[in-house]
Amino acid sequence: MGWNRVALVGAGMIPFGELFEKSWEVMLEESYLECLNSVDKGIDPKKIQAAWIGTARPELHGQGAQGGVSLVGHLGLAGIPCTRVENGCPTGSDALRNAAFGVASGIYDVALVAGYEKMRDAPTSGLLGIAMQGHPLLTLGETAMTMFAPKANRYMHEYGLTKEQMAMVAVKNRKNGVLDPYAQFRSEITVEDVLKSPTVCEPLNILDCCPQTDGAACLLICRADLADKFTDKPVFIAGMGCGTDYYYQHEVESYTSYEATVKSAKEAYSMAGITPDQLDLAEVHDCFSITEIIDYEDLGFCDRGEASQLIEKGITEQNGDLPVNVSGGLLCKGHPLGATGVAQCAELYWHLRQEAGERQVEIKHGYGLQHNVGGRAISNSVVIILSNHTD
Amino acid sequence: MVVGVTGYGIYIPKYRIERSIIGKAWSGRSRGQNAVAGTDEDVITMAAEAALNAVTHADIDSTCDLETLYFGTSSALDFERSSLGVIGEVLRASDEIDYAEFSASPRASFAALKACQDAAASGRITNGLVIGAEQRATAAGSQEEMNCGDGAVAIMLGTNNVIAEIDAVYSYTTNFVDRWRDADSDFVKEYEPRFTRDYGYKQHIIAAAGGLFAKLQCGIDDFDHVVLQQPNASMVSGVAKALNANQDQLAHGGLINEVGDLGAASALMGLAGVLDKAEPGDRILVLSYGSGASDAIALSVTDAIAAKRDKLKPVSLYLKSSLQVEDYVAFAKMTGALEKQNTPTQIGVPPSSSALWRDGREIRQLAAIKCKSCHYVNYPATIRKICVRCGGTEFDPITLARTGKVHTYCLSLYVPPPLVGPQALIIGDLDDGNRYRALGTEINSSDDVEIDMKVELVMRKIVTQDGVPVYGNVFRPIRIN
Repeated sequence: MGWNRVALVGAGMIPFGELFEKSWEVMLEESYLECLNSVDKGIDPKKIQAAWIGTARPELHGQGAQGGVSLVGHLGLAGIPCTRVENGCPTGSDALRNAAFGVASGIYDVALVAGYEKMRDAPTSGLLGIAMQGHPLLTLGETAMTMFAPKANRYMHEYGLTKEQMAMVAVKNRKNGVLDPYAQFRSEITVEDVLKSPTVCEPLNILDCCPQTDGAACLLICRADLADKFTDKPVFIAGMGCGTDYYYQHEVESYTSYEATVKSAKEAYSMAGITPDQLDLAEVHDCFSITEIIDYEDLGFCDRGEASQLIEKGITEQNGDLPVNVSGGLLCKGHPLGATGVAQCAELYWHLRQEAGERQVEIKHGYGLQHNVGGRAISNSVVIILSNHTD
Repeated sequence: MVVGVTGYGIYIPKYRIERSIIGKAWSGRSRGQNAVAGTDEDVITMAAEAALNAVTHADIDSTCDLETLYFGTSSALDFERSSLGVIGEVLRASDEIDYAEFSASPRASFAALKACQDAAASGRITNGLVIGAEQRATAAGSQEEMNCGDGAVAIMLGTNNVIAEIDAVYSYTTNFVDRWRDADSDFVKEYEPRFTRDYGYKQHIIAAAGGLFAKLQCGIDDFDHVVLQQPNASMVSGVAKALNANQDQLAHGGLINEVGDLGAASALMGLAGVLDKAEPGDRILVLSYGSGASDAIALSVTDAIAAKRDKLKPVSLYLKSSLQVEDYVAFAKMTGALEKQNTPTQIGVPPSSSALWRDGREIRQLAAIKCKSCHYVNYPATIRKICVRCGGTEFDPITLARTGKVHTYCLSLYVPPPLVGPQALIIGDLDDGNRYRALGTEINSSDDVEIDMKVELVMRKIVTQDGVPVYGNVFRPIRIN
């Protein structure tokens, strides 16, 4: 494929959580400083030629018109080009994807990608209305939960998935998060805890749902042929994909899959020239336990209807054949929308560089996959495949 | 020209409250039960379903053959504007239809009926719909709260294929104050129930009946059925006795203890109950009352009544299809006496009623367009100039089916205000193969919904914003087959 290869040479993140004491500016500043400090051979910020910022719902904290200056204006980088990306739950990963286009095109050598979300400056009830877009009557009453829960019911109906199996996803990810210093929750739960937790939207209980989280993360990318100026262990973008499905729920055909994911995964695998069995780990979108179940099939980790077996057999656990969400995932680490995709790529970056500490997975093939799906009718998806080598 | 009833349809909400439950809350006593509208219902939604039933029963094409829609209620929603156009949209009626809202009395529906009768008799119209609907705002703990029920009746009047001819009408009116709800009052008030009973209800009905008997040179014994306005059971039995009406005559029109005082829908509901059972040649006397006025109407049933019965959803089915409200708190939430304090979500009316003007009508009409190249049905029509499946730009208009089955669903305890959980959201596969997404109604727990369950799209009040009701389709488990 005719594109200049892109390398990741720095990653920074702040611990996610209910960060009432940190403003959104401070979250961005801290994650940016972490990112600069992570560059093995150091970097002069003046080398950063362009930036992309992902934030999905700044109106939640009263900042409805966030543009590019809301990033660079706080980092001492005012003057360079900066663009805000909003693409539903894949906002952060799409910011990276667009920044990668900037570098792959040959126009910029070094670029910064940041993602943040300040979700706890609004009351929980303030989040309820954010899924209602488009025609007022066609989406009335919709919340994040009401867009995912119908898929759970249909999937359970067609494939016999049980609530227990669904709960095992949350249990696995909470266990993983105990080892992740960036995770919002650092404690384990049991299947019984999930099943006994209050119902929020049948068939989903509260422990089937990700929390509301503040957080920020940054990545530094550059032309692959310049990476050795910054590190001897660069990570490369092997493939990227972006897919969409239909806008309204009545237009969506499948209620047992996310077609946007299927399309973005196909594009990313094809660009990377790999198959799912070459992945050493995946950070996938698990805003609800059912989402991760369906992700397994959409991303080709197993055949249709077989996802419950991956979780039952422990294949996606931290020490399994294909560890999924060793960071704790959205269910445990948290889901600050714009930060999520960037943070997932940071997690892959650390694993592919063998520096993920206690939660390090075994790197055999040198590939890790990042995935988000969300937005209106859950019809936006981004998949990014990173590698520790070029081909 | 012979003018009469050519068809009719009723609507009684599914929920019932035992009056003893209200009595227990306020140390009152009464027997029987009232029909209670759900939180997403009002006089317009109830009227719309009754109107659809009436159009089906009358067997007319409402898109071209309906010429008037006259509406009577003492539960008017607004002083400045009318929502009758919403009913017209659900019926897909012509924009040339003549709407009029009659109000300020529980006999407003009879004022509407007389106006419609005149329009038909004059030859100005061939088919006109008269609707009586009621959902009174009653004060917590009041006698009205104990007595009043909700419901709607739609009567199609016309000159062709008449099932009950109107033989004569007589009205009697005096200036009388019994019940009122002034512009500054939230609830119906009453001066003194016994004064209303003896000097209002009784005197006016007797006077109206007497006037009609004189006009027709007949008496009470000439009628097979007698239907009375029914404010409460004892008032009805008192007047029936004074009129010398017997139990056989009263047998099919008395619904007070099953649905409550339906106000502008009360006597018309009784008439519907009688027409459900009446034989060709039967004569019917209907006596309305409200606010110092009474109308007496004599009808004669024709041979045409039998042939139309297979298109009828009779009163008995609506009475049977019921769900008891378990306690006073649940009841008070439904009537609005108990309201959760929260900030409603803005959905675009007003100030941007433009969005709902653009797209709201076809939502209620279920107007869709079918792509000429790939045959995918795009919905709603006005937001789709390009086929979402294939990019085609040429379409044929179609109307979506109103029935289907649940493809999938969820039941959410947390929904944007003013919706209140548990709120069902249904993705339905319609019988015509198209898919529709809507809120669910009459689904209160996961026991009430499952995949593949049969559902129907009905028009309900989805939300009220700044005092403006917004109507749209919701999925309801099929209620009456």
